[in-house]
Amino acid sequence: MAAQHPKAALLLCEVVMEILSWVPAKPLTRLKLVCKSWNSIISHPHFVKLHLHRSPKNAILLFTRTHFGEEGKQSIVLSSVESFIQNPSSTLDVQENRRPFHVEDWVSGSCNGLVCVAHIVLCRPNNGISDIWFRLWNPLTGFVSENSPCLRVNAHNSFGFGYDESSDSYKLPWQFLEDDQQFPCFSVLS
Amino acid sequence: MSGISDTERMITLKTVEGTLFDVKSSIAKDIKTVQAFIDDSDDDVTSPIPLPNVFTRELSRILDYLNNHHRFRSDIEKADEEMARYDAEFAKSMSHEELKALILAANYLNVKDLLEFLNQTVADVIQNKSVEFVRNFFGIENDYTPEEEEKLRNENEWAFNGVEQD
Repeated sequence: MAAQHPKAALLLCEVVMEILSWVPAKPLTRLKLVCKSWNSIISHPHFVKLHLHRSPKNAILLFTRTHFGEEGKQSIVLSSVESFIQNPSSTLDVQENRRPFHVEDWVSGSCNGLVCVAHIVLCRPNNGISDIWFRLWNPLTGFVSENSPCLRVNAHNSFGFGYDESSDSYKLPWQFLEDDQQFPCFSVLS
Repeated sequence: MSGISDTERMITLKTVEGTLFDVKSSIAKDIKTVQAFIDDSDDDVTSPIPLPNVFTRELSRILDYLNNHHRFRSDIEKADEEMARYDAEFAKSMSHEELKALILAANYLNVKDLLEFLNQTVADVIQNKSVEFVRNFFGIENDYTPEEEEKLRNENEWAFNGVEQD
């Protein structure tokens, strides 16, 4: 049979988008270099959401602090619980997963591949009031957001970090001793 | 020769080359474009349904895939394991050109599960390859100037560690 297949027919844009949505984030970033239209597909908020939707869910992350170098400098090591259980020592040694971290910093929470880091700017031991700001960190790309506005809080407050689907923004739930209050942190960061 | 398949309605599909395929209506349900054609026809579809964009090689592969998946699903116990083995063989049996042709056909015929599986297969093929390989694979011209390309590469340097040689 004389097959008359058109050679290398170009795949449709919608198909390309579907294929790319299955490619993990790191190689996907490389593929921005294929051509300009791929770069705009991959950077488009619509695609970012589709890609997030396809990513593995319920990945449990482990944050470990280690000392490194000079006095007062620490680094935070990010690893999946799964790889830590399989191979504890080498997982913590992977340089790629390390970020320099200040002693006064702590991880407030993580969600959708973003880690929310809190930093104490000023601490007043006499009344327990602290000034802190928050930053978002994407461990994979190394992207770190601008500092949030400084907040004056009581040392007994606790914070979380999550994504609010109804308003499409990331929020820091903030718990007081008596009542609950929320304030939006950043709009969508991708 | 079971009673069920004897009584099940058959539908005839016609490819670009004119080859005719008889398909059980339960299989045709998974081919959404065909099912929509059947739903839109007032009378029973007795004459072959022409598929002006689908070649014999692709239609025969698609029907193979659907028939096998229907068979696996009837045996719940072994379904997942056998299906995974079959899928892996199915993907391996094709050249890259054939894979692309099959995606076009599955997309046109709107065979959802197969299309998703093929898209994932391509994603697996390209994810560790160089940018040049991917351009070749999709037949895409590089429309960046060398300066633009260099700039974008520098901005995303972290993503370029650990690329396989094609």
